[in-house]
Amino acid sequence: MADGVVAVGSPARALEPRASRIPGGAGIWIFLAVDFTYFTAIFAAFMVDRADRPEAFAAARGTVDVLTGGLNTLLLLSASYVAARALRAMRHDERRAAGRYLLAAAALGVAFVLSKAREWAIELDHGHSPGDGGFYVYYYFAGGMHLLHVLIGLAVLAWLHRRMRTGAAVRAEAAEAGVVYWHMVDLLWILLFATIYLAA
Amino acid sequence: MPRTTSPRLLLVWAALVALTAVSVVVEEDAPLGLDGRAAGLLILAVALVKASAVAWEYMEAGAATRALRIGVAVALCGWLALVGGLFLAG
Repeated sequence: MADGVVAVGSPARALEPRASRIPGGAGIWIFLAVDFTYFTAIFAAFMVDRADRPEAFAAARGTVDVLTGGLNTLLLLSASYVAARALRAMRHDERRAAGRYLLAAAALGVAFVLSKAREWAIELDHGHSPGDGGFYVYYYFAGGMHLLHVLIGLAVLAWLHRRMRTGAAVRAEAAEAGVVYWHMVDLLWILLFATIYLAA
Repeated sequence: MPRTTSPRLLLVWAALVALTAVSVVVEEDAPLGLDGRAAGLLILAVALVKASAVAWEYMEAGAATRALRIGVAVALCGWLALVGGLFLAG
């Protein structure tokens, strides 16, 4: 079996953590850096706009449900934890356990999507739409971009889960890159939650 | 204990959950006599700790090359400086 491939019965040594390497390969980290820069630009625009109109932003921020935001944070943090366990299981070639962890991570991700949809439905029901401008433009746009990342992450988790279930080979770097991407989804939400839900 | 079980991962997860709860409580009630700005900075500090823990423990940045570790640290500190600076300016 070629190095960097995980399959039933393989020791999967290629997935063992080693010092001085790039988990998942350089490509995923370059992508993450670009994506992170993009979100940083959104956060910077938000904070500059907020500095211009602090009262309007504070009033609008008071309408968002911080507790639901906190619950969403817990869902993604838990999904990340389970995904980290999945990667460890893949490293030890425990494909059934890895499949279960990947499924659990995906289920928590789906719960996040449903919770987010409910949160937006309540906001829209209260008459707060992106058309209101100011705070709500960022609230929906940043949240929407993040949600898109969650959906892509769910597709990646589903692909990895299918490979684990069917016993198909998975390149070590692909498995790591997929899980690292999922952690970026969590990381971005933490920054988004702190910037838009809490610090506004 | 299964080989995939990691007390350290579980500990990080529990700490992140606790920090999230602190963030929400501080935002909702601003206890300990904190004014709004101090509470906001505390929340940002908590968020930085959370973000660092995710990057280091889950994304395995801690086991990565030195350049990548420095890059991740700079990105997180940059975010804190950006948001914290603008928060204080506002």
